[in-house]
Amino acid sequence: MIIRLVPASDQLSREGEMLLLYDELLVRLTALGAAIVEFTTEPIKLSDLIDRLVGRFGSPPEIDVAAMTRAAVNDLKKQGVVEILDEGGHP
Amino acid sequence: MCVVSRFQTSVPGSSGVLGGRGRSLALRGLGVDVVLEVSGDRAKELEGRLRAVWSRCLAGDPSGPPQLVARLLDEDSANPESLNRMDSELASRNLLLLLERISQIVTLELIKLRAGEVLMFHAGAVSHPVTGRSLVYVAESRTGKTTLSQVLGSAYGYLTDETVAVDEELRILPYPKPLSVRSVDLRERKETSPDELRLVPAHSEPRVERLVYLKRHPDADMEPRVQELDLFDAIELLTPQTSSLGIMDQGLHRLADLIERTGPVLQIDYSEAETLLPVAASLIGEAP
Repeated sequence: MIIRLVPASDQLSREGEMLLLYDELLVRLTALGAAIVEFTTEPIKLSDLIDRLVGRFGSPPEIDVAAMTRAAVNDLKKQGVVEILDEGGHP
Repeated sequence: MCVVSRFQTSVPGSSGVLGGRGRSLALRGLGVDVVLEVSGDRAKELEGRLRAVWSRCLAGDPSGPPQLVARLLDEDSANPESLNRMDSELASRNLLLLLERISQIVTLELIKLRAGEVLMFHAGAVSHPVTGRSLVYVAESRTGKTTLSQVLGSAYGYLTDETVAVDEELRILPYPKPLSVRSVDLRERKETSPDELRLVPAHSEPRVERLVYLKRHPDADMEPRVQELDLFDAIELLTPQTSSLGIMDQGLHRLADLIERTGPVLQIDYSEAETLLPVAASLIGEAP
């Protein structure tokens, strides 16, 4: 799975949080969502994204980071913040 | 973990430009004009009423073709009625309904003309008649902005009860439109001039002093409850009450800049409009 950010018309960041404006839709992201936005400005494989998130937030033993990342990516995809590309780089 | 939440802003409707013959009026709001052509069997009656209820928005000689054509028909006219909000040509036998629909479409046209240029809120606003310090009260539709505008506008300068446009210098572009006031028996709404309601004229250079977000609790008996909003919380609440923010260059930054220069935004929970007069006085000064 390859993930890529869908550019917003404007965005604001503050203390880890982020607001993204897509046409008429405002999306508010927590620190995890904001980090995913930061790391997907260029297409990135899911495994690489997980590694970068672990590098950013660490990997607490009680948390399944891979599962949490997949869930967050799915959530962002539903909101139109990221898109999923195939291995050829096509949506 | 929930990583997102979403908020929808609004998009103005569109209507075309129509030609036609009749008398034209230019109505000014948000710093621009909309040209309205008045015709039909009872054109003179309609024009007279429009000049009365739009008394504070009349803009002199119209230039350019009309964006909207309105026809007031005779009771026995065979011509069909048309009151679709998305139409740029209206026709009706009912004067009150026609005036109400004209107000709605003129507002949409003005918003469309300023889209992407200035920040616009679904809000009312009043200005201190001496200093020009202005209070912008943002609220969802049908939650009492018009009633509040009548109350505050009896002491402070009436700027608008529906759409507030703010430029980069924090100036408010007035839109002192007619207020849609319910009749005593609550059966119908009547477009009413701010002059007829004896609202105070606005200061000539109104500037935003403070943005507030209103939540009315009509069934509660409460004193106003005021709380400061964090910047992102304020943007979340205000964005659905903006127009065309998404097509404005750096719209979020413009909104955040406005809030930081005038804020913090206050959320005010209240029940009765009259209880907000002291709140307004504390924010923009006692009315003279």
